[in-house]
Amino acid sequence: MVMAEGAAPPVVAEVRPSKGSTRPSRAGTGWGRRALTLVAIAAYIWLFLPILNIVVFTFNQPSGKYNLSWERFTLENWAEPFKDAQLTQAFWRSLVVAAVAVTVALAMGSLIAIALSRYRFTGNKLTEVFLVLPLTTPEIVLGASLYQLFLGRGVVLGQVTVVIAHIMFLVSFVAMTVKARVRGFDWTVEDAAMDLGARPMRVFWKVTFPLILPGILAAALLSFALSLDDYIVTDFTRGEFTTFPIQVNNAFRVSFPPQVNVLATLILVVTLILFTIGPLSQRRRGAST
Amino acid sequence: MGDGKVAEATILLDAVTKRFGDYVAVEQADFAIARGEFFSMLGPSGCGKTTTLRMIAGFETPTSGRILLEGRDVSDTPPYKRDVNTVFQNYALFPHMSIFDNVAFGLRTAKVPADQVRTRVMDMLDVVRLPDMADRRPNQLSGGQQQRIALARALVNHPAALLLDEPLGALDLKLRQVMQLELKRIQRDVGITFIFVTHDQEEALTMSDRIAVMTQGRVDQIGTPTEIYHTPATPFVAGFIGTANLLPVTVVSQTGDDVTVETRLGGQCTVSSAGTTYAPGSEVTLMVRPERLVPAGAPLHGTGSGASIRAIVTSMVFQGPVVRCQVRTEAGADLVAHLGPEDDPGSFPVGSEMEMTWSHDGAYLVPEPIAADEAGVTSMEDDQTAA
Repeated sequence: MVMAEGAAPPVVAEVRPSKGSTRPSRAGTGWGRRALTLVAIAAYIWLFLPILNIVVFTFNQPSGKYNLSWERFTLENWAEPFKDAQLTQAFWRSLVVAAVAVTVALAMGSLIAIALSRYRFTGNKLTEVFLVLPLTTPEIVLGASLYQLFLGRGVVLGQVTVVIAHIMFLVSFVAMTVKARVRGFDWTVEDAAMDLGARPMRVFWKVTFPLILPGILAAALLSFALSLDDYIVTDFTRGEFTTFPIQVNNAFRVSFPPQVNVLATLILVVTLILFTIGPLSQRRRGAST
Repeated sequence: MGDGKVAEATILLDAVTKRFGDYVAVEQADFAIARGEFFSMLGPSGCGKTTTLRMIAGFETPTSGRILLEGRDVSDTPPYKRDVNTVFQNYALFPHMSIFDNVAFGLRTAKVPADQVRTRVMDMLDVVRLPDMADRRPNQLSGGQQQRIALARALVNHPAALLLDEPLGALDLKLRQVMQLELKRIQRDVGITFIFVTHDQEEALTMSDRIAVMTQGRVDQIGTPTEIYHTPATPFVAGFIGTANLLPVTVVSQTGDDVTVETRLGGQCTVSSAGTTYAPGSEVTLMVRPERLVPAGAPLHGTGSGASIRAIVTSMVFQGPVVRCQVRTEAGADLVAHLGPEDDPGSFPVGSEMEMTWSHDGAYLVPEPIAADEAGVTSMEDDQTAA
């Protein structure tokens, strides 16, 4: 192609957005941004300082019976985490109660969640109301009514009643957590599985269950923490049976050994590990739930 | 279709009705689908086509009537015991499994040995032209690819019939056209009966051996695409497939192939009977397709002279291959003609008078009447562009 002399090729102007155009800015500018950062830092400190404190004091060697002020650094507490026999026994009891209660609550709560979100049946709304009740009722009221219920039936208060009480409120948490995960679930995949020859049980184990498993795991972590942590309802239903929080509080009149910090930190570390493994493994599997 | 119950039919619907409470979703569906046929159920939303498909698949049970699969009554058989497989509208791939595991699911459920599973799955991935996707996840595939995997997952089990529930609905136009031809090719290669549900009449016409046109729970007509288009059984079918100009007329007399009919304003014309006998006095509908209407003087699209009608031009729109010419008759009915350049559309500006003519065989008498206010052009064009 011959270019005529003197003719310049057409210039294609580059289109650039002008400054101050309608692109969304990141959280304001200048002092607003700085104030937000300060508030964020303050919030994090507020949230984590107490926890950090617990962890730091696992390394403390208290001079008296109370691990409340810093004396000197030691690793001894970590070498002997189970030095306090009563505390350790209460710790294991908490774990056992949590394991049993969470397992039962998971089974019941997940099935409830599936039923509520998949089917429309009479009593659907009523069940949802009942599920929310343990979450909205003050724990003292829950504890007191359970106490009254057990006593009235002549049931001896102890480990079993504690487990029953835990299951009661854990089912609510599990059902709500799993229900939230299951909402928006495309149930057509179950039809597809049946269409391909799978009987209902196979459909459940091969298709439904793997898909709600992340929700169940989230519910498991949550309920485990709630069960370990529970004080008020446990106190009303335990009789002479002590769990970890109960023991710490009972013994507080007399002592507060650093083993309390150690055991608490153990729980914290395990939880942290589980919380980081979870999302990582999901991302690796590439599952889009 | 009483005598149409062929012994070697793959699927037979015997007076199947489905009610949900007071609502009748499907009314007296009665037809047979032959082995190896590409059979479509076509109709607007709510016509009952998906419900019928679900009854064949086993997800719904007929309120009355029977469904026979290769001669056996499967009306009460659950879906996992029927030898049919479904391609769902939203694909319904298992998101937590790889593509290979998805396609292998039916085979593994049937306890097919592992080496056979491998062979059959990889062969099927070749058939749908996605051989490299075996290790991917469904969420890594595009819509069109997911749809082909859904097809593979169903086909790999060699069912007696494959049910497809509007599988191309979520695809864009170009991809849909490509997939239509792909599906047709696969169906011919594999030889399995396809039962295809769609609301897109162009799609049905392109792909099907036979079409069942449904509306409001009823099957209005079952026939080949040509039959449906040229000899619709009801005014609904005439209007749903493409565009149709419909005029209510009364049969005056019939001599051999010539049927004389009279319009409401007293005008008379002769129509080819196309082999049917019409009783004098019966009220029927005169149908003329837009491509058969030409202005007087232009060469007729068809053989033999038929009739003409005077009208005023109300719009003239260039649409590329044709010019869409809309006119209004003296009786107030709107008619649409598709004019080519040889019809000289430029010489008929809006508002001018025009005489519309059609050939002797350019019109068809639909054996059912329409109401006076339904006269004129019926077209699904607007609905289709919206869909």
